[in-house]
Amino acid sequence: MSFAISIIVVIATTLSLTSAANYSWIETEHAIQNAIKNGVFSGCVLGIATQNTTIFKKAYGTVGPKRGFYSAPVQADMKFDLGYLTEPIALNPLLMDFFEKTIILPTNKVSFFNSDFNNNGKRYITFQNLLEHNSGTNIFYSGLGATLNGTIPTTSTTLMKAINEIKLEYTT
Amino acid sequence: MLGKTIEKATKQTLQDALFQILTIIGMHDTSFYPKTDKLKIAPGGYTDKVAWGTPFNKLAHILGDSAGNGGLFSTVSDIITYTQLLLNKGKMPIYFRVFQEDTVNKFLNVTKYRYANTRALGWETVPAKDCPCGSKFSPSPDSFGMSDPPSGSFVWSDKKKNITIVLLANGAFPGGRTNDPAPFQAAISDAIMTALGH
Repeated sequence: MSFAISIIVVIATTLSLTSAANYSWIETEHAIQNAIKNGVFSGCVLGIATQNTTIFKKAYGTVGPKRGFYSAPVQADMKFDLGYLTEPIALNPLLMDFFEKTIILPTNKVSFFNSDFNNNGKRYITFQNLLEHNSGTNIFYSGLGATLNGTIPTTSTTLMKAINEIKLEYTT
Repeated sequence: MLGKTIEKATKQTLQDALFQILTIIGMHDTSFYPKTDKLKIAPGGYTDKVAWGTPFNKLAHILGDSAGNGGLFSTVSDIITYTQLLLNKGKMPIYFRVFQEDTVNKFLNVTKYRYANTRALGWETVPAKDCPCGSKFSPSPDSFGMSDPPSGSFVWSDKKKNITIVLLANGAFPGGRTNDPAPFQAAISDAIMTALGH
């Protein structure tokens, strides 16, 4: 049994490596080096996969701009700050899980769970509205500053107060 | 907003709420407040000081380093694992089903958007022009993804062509960014799709 599994693993690995080796990544590498050269980023990790197999993974560049000094190379297994990718990578699976467990549905109103949000016409905004970015609110920093009469929130409490009290720019 | 509402609805932190589902999917290197050593985290930070494990998204930082729109840290391998789950319609490649196919379709379906574009639930869809995914991805709903302009990172998947591209970058390094990443992201995507024969 274990011998059969070993054979399958060897065949799968060979096929994977063979398929990866069949592609020419010269233009891809050139495009990445061009981004590094133009200061878009100093380093990155690129991964390419099909639904069942990772066919390419490689690290490029350094963890910070060199500026005349040494900077450590990026490693392929490094953790990166995802920024806006947090929404699809964290909220998307979480809300799919909540949907299947009927804890939160996309059609649920945000104000049902967060009563502080129920003001300035935001009562009927749903989770789906927030995910689709068509809730009518503009939760950007400048918008929040305007909400608090020009005061930029600097603490979690004042920031959440500003978000909860933000006015609609349009109705959905 | 979404993150804090989820915390109120579930009476637990976003990190705790997320931990269970990420563990089931097998994304063991994905979390808020990463705790591994400095050598395993690409440095960044939202001020002029270089920091490790601090999000460059200012809103997320003010909200305690975790929010629905920023603060998560992950690896290319973990994100590939998640996109493979979506490309397999809710099923892990060689293991078990995590989500029902209908659920995945619902969250990846194209929905109306206020501006000249569409969105899926949590994902972006291929815009009419100037997509960071380049010109070779299938029109949505066959394709879904997201770009993070501050860092230059992006994730795009094409169900029809069975491909996922994940690029995690450090363009948000303090003082490190000088150019708009979108055309460079598109050039990288097009080069990859050409290499794959698309």
